[in-house]
Amino acid sequence: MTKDEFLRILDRKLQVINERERRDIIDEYRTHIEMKVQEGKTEAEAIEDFGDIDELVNEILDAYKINTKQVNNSFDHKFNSFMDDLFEGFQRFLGSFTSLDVEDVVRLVFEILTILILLLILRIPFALVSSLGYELLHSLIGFGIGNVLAHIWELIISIAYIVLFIVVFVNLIGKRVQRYRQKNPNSKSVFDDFKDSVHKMNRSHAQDTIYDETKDASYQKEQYQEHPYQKQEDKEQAEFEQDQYQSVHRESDSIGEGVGSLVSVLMKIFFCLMMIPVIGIMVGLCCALGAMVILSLEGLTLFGAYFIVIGGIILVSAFLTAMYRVLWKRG
Amino acid sequence: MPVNTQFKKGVLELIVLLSVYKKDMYGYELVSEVSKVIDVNEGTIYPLLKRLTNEHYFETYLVESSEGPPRKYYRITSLGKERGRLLLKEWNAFHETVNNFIKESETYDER
Repeated sequence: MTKDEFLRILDRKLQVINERERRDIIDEYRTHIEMKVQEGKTEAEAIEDFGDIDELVNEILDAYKINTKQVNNSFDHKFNSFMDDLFEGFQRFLGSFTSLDVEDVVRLVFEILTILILLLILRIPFALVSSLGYELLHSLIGFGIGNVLAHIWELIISIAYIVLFIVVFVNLIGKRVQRYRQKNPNSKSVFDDFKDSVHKMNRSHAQDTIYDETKDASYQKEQYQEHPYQKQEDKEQAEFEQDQYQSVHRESDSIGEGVGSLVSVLMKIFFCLMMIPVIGIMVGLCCALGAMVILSLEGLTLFGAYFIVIGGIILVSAFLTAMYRVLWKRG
Repeated sequence: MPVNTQFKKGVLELIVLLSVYKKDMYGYELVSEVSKVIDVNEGTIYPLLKRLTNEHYFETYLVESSEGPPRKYYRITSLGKERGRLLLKEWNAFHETVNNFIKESETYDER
């Protein structure tokens, strides 16, 4: 049992005592364990010296003149202690797998779900591009070759998505776990990490374009030819951040970073694609606003519609700003 | 529970009172001091300290420490001193009676 576990159990079993007193007692035991550790004992040894925790709890309750027998006999207490024991067992069970405690694990599970949802949303632009390319190849080129090419296109897109999925997922989860290991939770949310990893990949990618352009895989080159503007942007960013990240550049030609840069290009492209319909909505809303102004000049004012349109514009612009920030961490 | 533990528990309060009577001490220091005299579960000393404080035999004050959090020192009150004297007297009387009885038994044995 670790110090934190012991103190938590003690705290739970002493719920009958008021908060201030309880903290007082817990502090005494914490200091005691810390002193023992300073003397060279382990936390577990120090706690073993206390003997059975239930007996200890009874002693403490005794000191407060709380009739432990009576408390122990009530059904509620029995049920509570049963649940506590169950939970402790669960904690110990989890503890044998990982150094994280239960709260962290629960939070981690929640975060994994969040990341999965984010990645599933990302699936939409992929599906869009996939079917778009499929239809184009299918209709433009003759049946035989077109069909084959279309299937290859579909395959490439799904592989790209899977690679992206795995890299982002592993990267994010690794980061979260590390953060909990460091016992420094709640400083950042999943979204921050998500943003971080996108930027990290952008950076390493930027390095690649400058220093390792000749080394790059042909697939990546293809991507560039398809998206010359993308390249331009990346170069600009690389120059912007060059001096800042010069030290990183030597490691940047490792395989992992290479994949990361590839994924970063893909992600940027798909975020851009995702932005297209949103921009379309924005333009549409602006047009609608203009039309309504004209209508009000004609004498027909629809307040409800005004609210809806303006609200929509605010929402969409907020979304666009968020996307912009995720893509280029400026502002 | 071995009989021994019951003995120890009985005199624990006396030893703690006398230790703090000599000089003010913080929890861990007191535990080490008491452990030197009798081998007792270290965890049980804190509840005792708590009880003695609640019964106004001790009062506490915090002192900043160079290592770690501030330490809570225990100081004996006049009520505590009285209690200590009473317990000591009781102990001496008890000790004497029991010792006398043991001696008598021994002479009985020799006869």
